[in-house]
Amino acid sequence: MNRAFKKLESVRKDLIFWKAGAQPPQLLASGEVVMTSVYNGRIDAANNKDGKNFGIVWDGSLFTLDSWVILKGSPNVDAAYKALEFMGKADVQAGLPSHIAYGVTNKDSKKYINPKRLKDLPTADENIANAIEINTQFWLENNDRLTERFNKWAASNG
Amino acid sequence: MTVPASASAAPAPADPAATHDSPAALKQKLRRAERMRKLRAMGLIAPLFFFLLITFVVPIADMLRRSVHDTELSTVWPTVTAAMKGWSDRSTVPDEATFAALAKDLRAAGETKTLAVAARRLNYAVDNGRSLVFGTARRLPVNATNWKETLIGIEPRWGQVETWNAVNQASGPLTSFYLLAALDREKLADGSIIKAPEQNSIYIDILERTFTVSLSVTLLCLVLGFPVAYLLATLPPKHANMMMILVLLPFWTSLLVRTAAWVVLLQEHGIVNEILLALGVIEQPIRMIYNRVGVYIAMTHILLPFMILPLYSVMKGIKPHFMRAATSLGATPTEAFIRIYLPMTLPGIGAGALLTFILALGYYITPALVGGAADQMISFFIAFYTSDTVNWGMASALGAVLLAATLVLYSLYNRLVGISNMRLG
Repeated sequence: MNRAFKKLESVRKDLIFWKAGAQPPQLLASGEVVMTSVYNGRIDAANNKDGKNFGIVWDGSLFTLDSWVILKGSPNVDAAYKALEFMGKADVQAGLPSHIAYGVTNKDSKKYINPKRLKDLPTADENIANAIEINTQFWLENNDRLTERFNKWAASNG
Repeated sequence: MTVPASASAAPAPADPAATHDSPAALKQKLRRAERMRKLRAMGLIAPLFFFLLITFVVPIADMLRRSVHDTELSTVWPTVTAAMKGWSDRSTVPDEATFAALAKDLRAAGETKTLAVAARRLNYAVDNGRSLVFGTARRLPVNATNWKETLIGIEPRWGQVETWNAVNQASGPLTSFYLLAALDREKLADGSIIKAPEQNSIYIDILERTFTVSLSVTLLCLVLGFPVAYLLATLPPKHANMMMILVLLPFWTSLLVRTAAWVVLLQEHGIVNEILLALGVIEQPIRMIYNRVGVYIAMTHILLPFMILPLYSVMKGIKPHFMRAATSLGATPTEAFIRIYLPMTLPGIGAGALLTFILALGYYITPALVGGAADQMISFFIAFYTSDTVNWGMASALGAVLLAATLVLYSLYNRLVGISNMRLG
């Protein structure tokens, strides 16, 4: 952690922090920054819908998995399982990337995805090769204290 | 006999004989009419009163309660939190009975799947509190002759006073933990209060920052708004109305839109920088956004109408012949302005400044979008704790500190300016 803060310190003057997911593509487009952390779906949308030509460095990218939750005591438990089963099917999941360039969890679904589209996804083999899963456990444990420390750092001789 | 003016709104007595009533009976009748009038008035304000009660008083009271009321841990670990009351020697860890209670609660919470609640609460005060709770629960034996040894054997941190101090402070039902944390303080096991570790003590600085930004924005609004209000009040109505629309138009536009517009204007290759570059005023684009400058510009712009409108309404009431009288009596225009005009606008300045300042204190989205990481005000952290980490106690404590600081400042301001001297319109 100290190493991370030291690294931040070395680039302090060149950093801009964003709050909303819509900001990074805008910051890139306006020339405010030359490189940014970003949700890959935003870059894909900017490239395909707004005619931009941003590149993505997949090496060392961070990813996280979302979860479905069935409420305890729900009257529709069976229907919920059915929905989960349906959503887990390879051919169903393969429909997602045509709407947003997010990854698919069923490995078989790659067969159904257009290879041209597949290379835009974080779950494409060459893209995920060196990716790191965000450690939810770590952040549950440290979010408050690290946020305080980060803000202390940000406020000092900024 | 005449009816006093104050009762004129009451229904006229139906009985003509009433005019012959004795003074005492009349007085009673008058009182009844007066009471009816009051009741009707109360009936009229009742909806507003209840609305305020539900949307204003109750949430604030609940926020204040949450900043000191802490039952998260005691609902999932009832035995050990009750046992903590018997922890008398604060220089060493509690006795065997308390450790046994902890083991019992760990098992029970494991079965009812509420360990996460306890883990989260302890994590606020103990580094890696989650792994402490889950790690111990995972390796908890079914039986033990000496729970103290067993638990410390599993997790040496149970042998530290600091850990038990955290459990004790989280035992509720009342706690000073959040309020102290919001003031960068923490309480040791022996009851003494110390400064929090340097890298985590940020809230006093942030509170200072919040007040500095709000005060600067208020002053900027006053300096910019005063001439505009004067112009509005003195121009002939035809032009004044036009100007008024220019003042009100941004006032009616969404705050988010105006903030986003400033991003477009101020960014490195934005309109302002491009024009300055083209005119040769600057050679390099200047950084006007994602820093304090951007926050000042955007917030001043957004809050300006709140300063102009009260000033305008007061200035509108100042007759021009006061100034004329002053000059005819030998005052220079500057002197007449400072000694005659300015004092008469004070109620407007007072009201406008207070309104702007209090509104600025709570700003969140504007600094978040046009400010840098070092320009976030206290609302940013309240939002962080409410929606990002769901730490309601901390969010409430920060809110309570902000409320208290604002009230102190308000009373000072009241002493200086006098609330009765203020006019909003």
